[in-house]
Amino acid sequence: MKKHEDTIREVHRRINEYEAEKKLRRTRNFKIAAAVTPVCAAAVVGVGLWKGGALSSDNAKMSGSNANIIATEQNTTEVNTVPAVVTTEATIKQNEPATAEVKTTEAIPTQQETTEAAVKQTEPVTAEAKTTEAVPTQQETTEAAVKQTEPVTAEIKTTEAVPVQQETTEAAEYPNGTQRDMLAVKSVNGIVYLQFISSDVYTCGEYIGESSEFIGFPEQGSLYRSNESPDVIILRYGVDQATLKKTDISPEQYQQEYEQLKEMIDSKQVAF
Amino acid sequence: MDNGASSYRRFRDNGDEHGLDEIIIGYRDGLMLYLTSIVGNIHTAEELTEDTFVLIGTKKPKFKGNSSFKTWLYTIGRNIAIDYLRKKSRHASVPMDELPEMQSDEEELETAYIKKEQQITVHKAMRKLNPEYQQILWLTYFEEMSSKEAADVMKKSIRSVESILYRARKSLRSQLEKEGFDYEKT
Repeated sequence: MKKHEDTIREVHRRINEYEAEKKLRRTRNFKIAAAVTPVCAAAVVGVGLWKGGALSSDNAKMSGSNANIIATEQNTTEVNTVPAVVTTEATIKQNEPATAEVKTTEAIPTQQETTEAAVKQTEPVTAEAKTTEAVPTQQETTEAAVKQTEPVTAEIKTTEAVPVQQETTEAAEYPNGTQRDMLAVKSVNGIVYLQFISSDVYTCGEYIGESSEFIGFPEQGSLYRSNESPDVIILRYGVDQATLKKTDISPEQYQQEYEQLKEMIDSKQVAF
Repeated sequence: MDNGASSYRRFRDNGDEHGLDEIIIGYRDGLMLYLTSIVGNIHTAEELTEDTFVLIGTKKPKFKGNSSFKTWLYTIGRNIAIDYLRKKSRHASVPMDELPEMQSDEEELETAYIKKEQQITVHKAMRKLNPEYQQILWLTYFEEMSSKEAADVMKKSIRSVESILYRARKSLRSQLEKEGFDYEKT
């Protein structure tokens, strides 16, 4: 049987052995964790991106089509920005901050004077405009999209909701000083369309008929359905082409609008 | 050294290895004899005693002071012995109880720890009783634990311990009488 001293020595030896083994195990675990953690983190990030759709091929296709959408809407914006300015003015007078509208007006230099004047009267709008400008990265990346795409939906709605404003805006001049073909309301087979003289690249589909058969169209011209969009009708007259986009204005509203516009159309203030 | 609690606290909280040494010196023999009553083998009991000290040296379990330090230490030792017996029951082993060197070791330890001749005789008679009687008699008469402390160590109720103690006493008396011990003189 062991003496007390031997037992003490043996107990301490075993305790030290245990501590050393524990330390070794801890070091080994730490090394394993250090090796595995970056792999796990990378996997998590990868899965996150994959699930988020950042790595899918559809995303690339989407961005391509987005670019097309922006290009298409750019044309419509050029015509439609005018009613939006009217809306902006009304909004600003009510002291309601409206960053989107302010951006819209930036796209049309001729309208800036009125907008700026209104902005001076209402400080909150100025502040917001400054804030928007203070984010250069956003402007760089989305400037084109924001300025050109944002107003599209809003402005078309404005046109629909406040048709009276069309009369005032249709006579407005464009920045280059030329009087351009402007917005007009057309009715084709009972469906009301807004006309844009634009370079929209819609290809002609089914022939509808001669433009003279329909209300508010020039005498010489042909109407076709668009191959790209069921809501678009193309008016061809001579070498020119106009795009007609379906609107929500009811036939009754259209009749009212048409009566008001008829005089302008006849006097060639609104050309085709 | 007081009852061992302060030595253990010094070892556990301050890393004073002498605290553990004091505990080993103070409690090794008694614990070993107690564990012998459980496993029936002095050498195994010695290893288990060592395991008990290694356990409190490595895991450093907290002594809350709900019982005396000896009760706490003996409870740990008993748990280790029970684990050992459980493992041993799975692996058939050659009994070593009959080895003469073991007997001499036990006698040596008895002499060192118990000291009184009369008590050594009683302890020898105890060794022939069943393990549960041995445990309770050891804790009560040699370690001078109360029924509650013995119940804590053996993980039994006080009533149960008292019942076992009563039967153990009777059994010990008959064993001593069988061995020719003059029971009346003591």
